[in-house]
Amino acid sequence: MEQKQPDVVDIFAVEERPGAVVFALAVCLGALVLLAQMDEQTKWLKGAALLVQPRFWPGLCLAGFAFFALCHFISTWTRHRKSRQYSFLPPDELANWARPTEYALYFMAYVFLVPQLGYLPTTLLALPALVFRLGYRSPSKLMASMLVGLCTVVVFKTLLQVRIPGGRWYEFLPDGLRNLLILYF
Amino acid sequence: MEIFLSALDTLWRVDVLLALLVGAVGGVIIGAIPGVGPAVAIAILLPATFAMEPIVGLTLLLGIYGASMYGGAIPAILINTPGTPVNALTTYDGHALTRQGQAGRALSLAYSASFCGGIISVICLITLSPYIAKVAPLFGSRDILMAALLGVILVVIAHRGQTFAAGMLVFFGMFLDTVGMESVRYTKRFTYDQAWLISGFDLIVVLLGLFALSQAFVLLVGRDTPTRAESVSGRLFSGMKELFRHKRVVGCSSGFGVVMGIIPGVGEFLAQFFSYTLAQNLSREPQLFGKGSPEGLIASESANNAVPAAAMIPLLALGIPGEALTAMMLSVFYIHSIIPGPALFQTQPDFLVTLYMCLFLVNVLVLAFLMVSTNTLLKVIAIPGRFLGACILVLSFVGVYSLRNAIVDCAVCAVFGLIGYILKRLKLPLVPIVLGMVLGGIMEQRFRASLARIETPLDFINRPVSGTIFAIIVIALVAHFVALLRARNTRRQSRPM
Repeated sequence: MEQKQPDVVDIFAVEERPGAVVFALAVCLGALVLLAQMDEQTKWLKGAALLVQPRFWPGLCLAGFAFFALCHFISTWTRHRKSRQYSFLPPDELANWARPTEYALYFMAYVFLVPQLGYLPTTLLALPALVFRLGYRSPSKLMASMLVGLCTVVVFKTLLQVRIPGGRWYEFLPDGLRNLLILYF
Repeated sequence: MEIFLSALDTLWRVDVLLALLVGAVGGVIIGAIPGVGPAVAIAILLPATFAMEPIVGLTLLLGIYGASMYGGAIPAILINTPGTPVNALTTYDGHALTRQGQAGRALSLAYSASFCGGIISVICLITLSPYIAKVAPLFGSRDILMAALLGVILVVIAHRGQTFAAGMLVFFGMFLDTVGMESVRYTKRFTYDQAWLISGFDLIVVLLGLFALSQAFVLLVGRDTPTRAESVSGRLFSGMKELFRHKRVVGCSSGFGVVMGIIPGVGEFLAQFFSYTLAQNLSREPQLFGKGSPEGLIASESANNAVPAAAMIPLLALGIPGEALTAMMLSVFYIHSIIPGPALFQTQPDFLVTLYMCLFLVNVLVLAFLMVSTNTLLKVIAIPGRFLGACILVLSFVGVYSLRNAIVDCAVCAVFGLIGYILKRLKLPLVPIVLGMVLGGIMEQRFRASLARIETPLDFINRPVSGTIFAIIVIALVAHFVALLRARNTRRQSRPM
């Protein structure tokens, strides 16, 4: 295999990416929409100077955001027109952008379940389930995921005492066990 | 002397020593796993450190920050995959040496160069401290405003080829910081009458989304690539001797690392770029660069590791973080009501000396750990990426939910995770958003504080410090535009007629 030539500029090289134009356009439109809402979403105090207006700083930030977003869109569009390497709306790439939504929903389901089932049971359930969903079927991987889940709870909740509430069903347990689970798991 | 003894007393505490050890060892392991990196680890651990004493929490985070780049060199050298993004340049010469059957030599050189870069940087931090203590109180609101503005401008122009994107994202970050109830007139800004938006976007929630969750998504939707690194033989102690033969490269590269670390918004990439280019120009064997040059490897690794300690200088002296990781550490200061800035040097010098000692010890501990554990660490490189993604997803929950047990925070974090994922796919930088949020907040606060003394816009720069910083801003902008024009002319000349 040929060894790559040493050109450190490669690290800073910008290549065209699929979906770059549509993303730049979306950001640009988003910035303009926010700018248009300025009047509605910020206050203008009568008689006060421009620099002390509550609207001044967000206005400055949004103006900068919209300006650079527009410049970014123009430069991306120009590069796209020259190279024509990818289509304006590459369906594969847009599908790729949507792919992690499943895991974001999984994350939110985990978030909703923790206050119900408790941190330890939810983690011991959720991590192996996610690992299984990812296609790992070997007992060693599933056991490893349970171990990671257990270690996470022990390190953060038991040892570092981070603020995560106990599960709702802990209330039905005998006093001693309930306190132990609420405090440490 | 009294301060030194007091610092030594703090350092000798079990919890500080434990944090030092966990940070150093954990940092190396995290750095050695491609796809995790210190930003993910620090973002996840950040809320957990709020319950600790500031010195313990900061020691842990600094340990991870300083140690991760050492660990990142291992997969960069052995399997041509950088453990952390800043080890990308290490693959050029490090992996080439591995292919020539000199993996042990490459690792030994990388560890030694990293150690020298780290130690030189800490020495610079200690040496500069008395001067910083004298200069920092000269900084008033207008001066800090100008320094933060310099940081914003440097973040934008440091992203060559992506200036517009960096500008867009930095202003987006600044805008995010303005959302919620403003603290002077108590008016709502962009809250859309939603109660959860009144307190604005929490920096940690955004950080966890952009760095940790987005990385989990990248790994989860990716494919596992089987990686196997051969165990390393040979003496890992021999690098120091070889390093001594290239002391000029070590000195220059560490110097670049220190300078680039001090300048807000620049960081490791430019430090490496300059040091590697200089080392190549000064070398007697420039043709070896990229094909297994020890000087190239030394330049890259010493420049990297010189940045963390130097990056603490603007943070401690002015309260201005230069990059994403120090921006995260700023939260630890704030949560414990320690305001980094000019007064810190006068009110808590022993705290600062303890931090310096910790930074020094992190480097020593990491080097010692690596000398005995490199072959064991090869096992963590082989952990499948998607399995890691699942673990990061679960760990991210702790970081975000433990802040205030709010489900809405987790939803915001998930949204920023998706935004971060798309930005990563488009190869757009995430750091400008974080720095925009942090520096934007500082700028607005200092801007408002300055207004009482401002009659004309020129009053912002009529102080010696603010005037000097303004001059630096102008020079940086002019240099940037000149470089752009030169690059354009070169492209035109090289184009076929």
